[in-house]
Amino acid sequence: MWKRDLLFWGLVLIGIGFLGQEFLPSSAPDANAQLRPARPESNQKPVDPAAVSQSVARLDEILEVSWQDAGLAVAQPVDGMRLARRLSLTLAGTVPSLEEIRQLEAIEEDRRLEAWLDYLLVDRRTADYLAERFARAYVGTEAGPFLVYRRRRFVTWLADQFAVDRPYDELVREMLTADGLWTDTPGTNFFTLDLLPKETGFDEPEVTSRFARAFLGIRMDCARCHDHPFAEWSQQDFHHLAAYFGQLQHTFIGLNDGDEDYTVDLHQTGDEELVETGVPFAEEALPGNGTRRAQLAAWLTDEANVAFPRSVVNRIWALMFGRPLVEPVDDIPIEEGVEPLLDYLAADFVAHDYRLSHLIRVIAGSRAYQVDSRIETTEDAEGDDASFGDLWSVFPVTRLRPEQVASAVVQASSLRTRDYQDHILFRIARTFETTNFVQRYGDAGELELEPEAQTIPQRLLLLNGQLVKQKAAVENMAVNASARIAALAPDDASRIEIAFLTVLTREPSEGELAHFIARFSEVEESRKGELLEDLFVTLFNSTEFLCLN
Amino acid sequence: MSQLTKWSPPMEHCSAARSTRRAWLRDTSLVCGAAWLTPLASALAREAESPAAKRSGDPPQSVILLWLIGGPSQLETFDPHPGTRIAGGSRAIETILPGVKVGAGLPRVAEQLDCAAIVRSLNGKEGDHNRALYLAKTGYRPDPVTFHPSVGAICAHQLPLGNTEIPRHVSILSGQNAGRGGFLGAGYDAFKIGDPANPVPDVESAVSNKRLARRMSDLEVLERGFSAGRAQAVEDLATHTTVEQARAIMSSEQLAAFDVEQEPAELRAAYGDTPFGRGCLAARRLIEVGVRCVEVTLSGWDTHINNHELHANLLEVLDPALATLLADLRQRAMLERTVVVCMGEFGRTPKVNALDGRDHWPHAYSALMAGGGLNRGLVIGETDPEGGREVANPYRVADLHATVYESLGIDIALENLSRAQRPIKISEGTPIPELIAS
Repeated sequence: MWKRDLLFWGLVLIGIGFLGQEFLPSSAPDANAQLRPARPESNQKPVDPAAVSQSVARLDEILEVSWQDAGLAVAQPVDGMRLARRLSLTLAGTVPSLEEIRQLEAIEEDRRLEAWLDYLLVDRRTADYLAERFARAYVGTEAGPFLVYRRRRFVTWLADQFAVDRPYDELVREMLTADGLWTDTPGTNFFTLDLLPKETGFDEPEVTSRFARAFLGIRMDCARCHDHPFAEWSQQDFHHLAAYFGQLQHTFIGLNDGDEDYTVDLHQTGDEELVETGVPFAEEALPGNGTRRAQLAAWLTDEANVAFPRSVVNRIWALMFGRPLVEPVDDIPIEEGVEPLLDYLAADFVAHDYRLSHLIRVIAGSRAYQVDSRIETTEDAEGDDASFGDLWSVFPVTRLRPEQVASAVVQASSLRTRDYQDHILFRIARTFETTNFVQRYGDAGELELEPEAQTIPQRLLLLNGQLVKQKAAVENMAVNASARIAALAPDDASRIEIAFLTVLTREPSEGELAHFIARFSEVEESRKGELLEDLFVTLFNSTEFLCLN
Repeated sequence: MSQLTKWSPPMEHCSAARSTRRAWLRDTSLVCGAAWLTPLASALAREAESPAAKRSGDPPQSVILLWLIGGPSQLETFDPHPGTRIAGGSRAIETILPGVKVGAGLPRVAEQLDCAAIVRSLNGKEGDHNRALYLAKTGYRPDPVTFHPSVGAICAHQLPLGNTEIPRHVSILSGQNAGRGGFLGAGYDAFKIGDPANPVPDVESAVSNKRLARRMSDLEVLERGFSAGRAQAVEDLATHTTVEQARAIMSSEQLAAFDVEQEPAELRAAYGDTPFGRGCLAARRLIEVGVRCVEVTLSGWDTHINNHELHANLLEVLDPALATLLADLRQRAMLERTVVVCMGEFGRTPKVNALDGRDHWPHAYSALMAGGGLNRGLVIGETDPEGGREVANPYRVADLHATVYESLGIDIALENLSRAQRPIKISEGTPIPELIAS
């Protein structure tokens, strides 16, 4: 009996703690609070600000030359808050909380970018978010073979690597040469995804296709079956590359390499032919010894192999701008000079030890990342606002992906930062809510970086769906921002301002403020909550909220 | 919560109107409802489907796809081999077609087979659920760099708009497997709903029209500000047009097509008091208002264990729903304008395993096809009674797709451009000659 009592009082105490945590702190955020993430990873190598500035200056030079040559108008720089929003959305997949905005406001304007990058790059949310994006490139979203493939284990491992800013070449080498069980050597999941059922063999062509797209940024899929007249890669190239995976085997000790030859029925004659290993370019980078996978990994990450750093630069750029330097993100021509920005950033990435944090800081520090998405077109300028984006003199306006919209709605409906400090019950609830939303919004899986316009079901979901309705509801005093603002803000103007800050990370314009003050003055005090709820739903439905800009 | 109800007065006048309409339908159905199921009505309906009537009718316009997800066993459904070793004790029954048998769990479908065709020789080459389902839905094997559109997306893309205000590609009970627009764009993704017994998700405003109008006019203020200097970019995102389109759907009378409660009780009972049965009934109502493709999913066929019993349970759901759908479409002279396909992503092994289950078998499985002017009352292909992989007259899944498009008047040779600017044919299959030959 006493056990049950103990359990009861335990639950009551947890409940009280849980409510207290939500109600008491930070209804008025403390401006002096340090900007510090909930789960910082402290063992990152410190950054060298001088190295970053040097790289940024060179990148800006290339950008400016291209703008001058094209005679392009360049958009104005955006303010620190808009920049913080861009970074949060593209690196952590959500918007800054009011709590974070207040902390950022306490920092001098010219130090905000650096402070915000320092904050985001050690935040576990960033590692998790980037890991999921990269995992989609490596292994897609399929559930894969039962038992021998554990996607979640793989993504968590990737996130752990990103969290400590592990050099990217090292990370990929470890993944490609991983031996053992998929549980304690999570990198092996890259291969076990294509373990064929009921045999010990692997689907080598499938592994090869994924390898080429993920790490070389080239699509060799067509070369798998035939020589395409205009393609850069022949069927021979493809199968020589596939031969590097030809000795993969899966035994009771997990993944390892055997010593059989790799044979393929190349001409569909029914005769298996022996295929030797071979790389499609940069042969000089190939080492003379090691297992086949070790040779391939060494070749891939050798400085002579430009395809490898370009593939990651193009992907990080795509994540940060909503659009890659070269489209599609995983099909980059192998010759030099196709995209000078790509060539430069790839070389800079290699020169700085393949550190993603350096690459991200350089891109974020560039003028291209800091220009507005708005441009006042004059009559003598050619093209429309969208075409200016081709040379990055205007920040591209691209739709947010479903997981960004869901996280942004959840974050914007709360004044506090929603992160790993949240109570476990909140985190579980959040997972359910966002998963459901993402499913209905339509997840494009591994092709998520392709351009897409908004759809009608997405709009219906935003206008009438559960998540938006619940997150805007003013009844929910325990969590919702709308409810707290309705109850705590002193007057209409501050209600409107806080709502704008919370959802759009900016103050309302004069026109907007005047419009909504007039709107709020139409009703008596007791019905302000209803208007605030409407304001949140309206802001959630605005194009500004739904796109990266 | 009390405040919420105060803020969002349910539109009493609407619900009152609806209940009167329902009452009227209920009352009239007592008189007329039962009559349509009589043999006389069936005979009249069959008369209306005579070749002359078929030619004079409108061209086919819609597709209803019934997906049996998990991989139904051909041996317990459309391709039984009673008395053989591979039957594993499963029984078969005679059908309205002389000499053609189906699994014992399909007595009502057996009576409708004169308006359908069974293809028993499908060969899919994909033994994994996801990959095989991709093939079944798109007619193409998965390709990591090309995201093919599903049948429904192609229908919505190719067939005329008509007067349809609601989404023209609807997926019922499909969860994460709903048809996708692929490279045609997410705009052609299916609109997803669950059990039609529940309200259609996201189409009803939680607030009064007055508040909704207020939100919309406030949104315009925000949009005007944001579009300045970004006009083209915003237009490309289509965020403004979706507001208009979403509101048109929210206020459309055609939404009533989702509401199966408006059908006579007898008819609802005939389809079966199950989500799948209601889904099939909703499918018929939806194509009546011009929806181009409705897919309805019945999951649970992945019977690696205890195959016979699990199949028997599922067939109790499938049999009334499929049979009634065919009869209902026939009775309304809609079958000739609608193609119905019922299939899974693959079949199941002829060999019964040690756990009384059957495993995946993509080598030779069955599909049922009906309507759309396709030839009917026939069986195509034949599988080995010993359970071998070889089949007589084999067809690929792509051929099935080509047949559907052919019957809808969609040119299969037409090429759409993939995202990588690669021309991709509507279908790379060949229409099944037995089904389309006149």
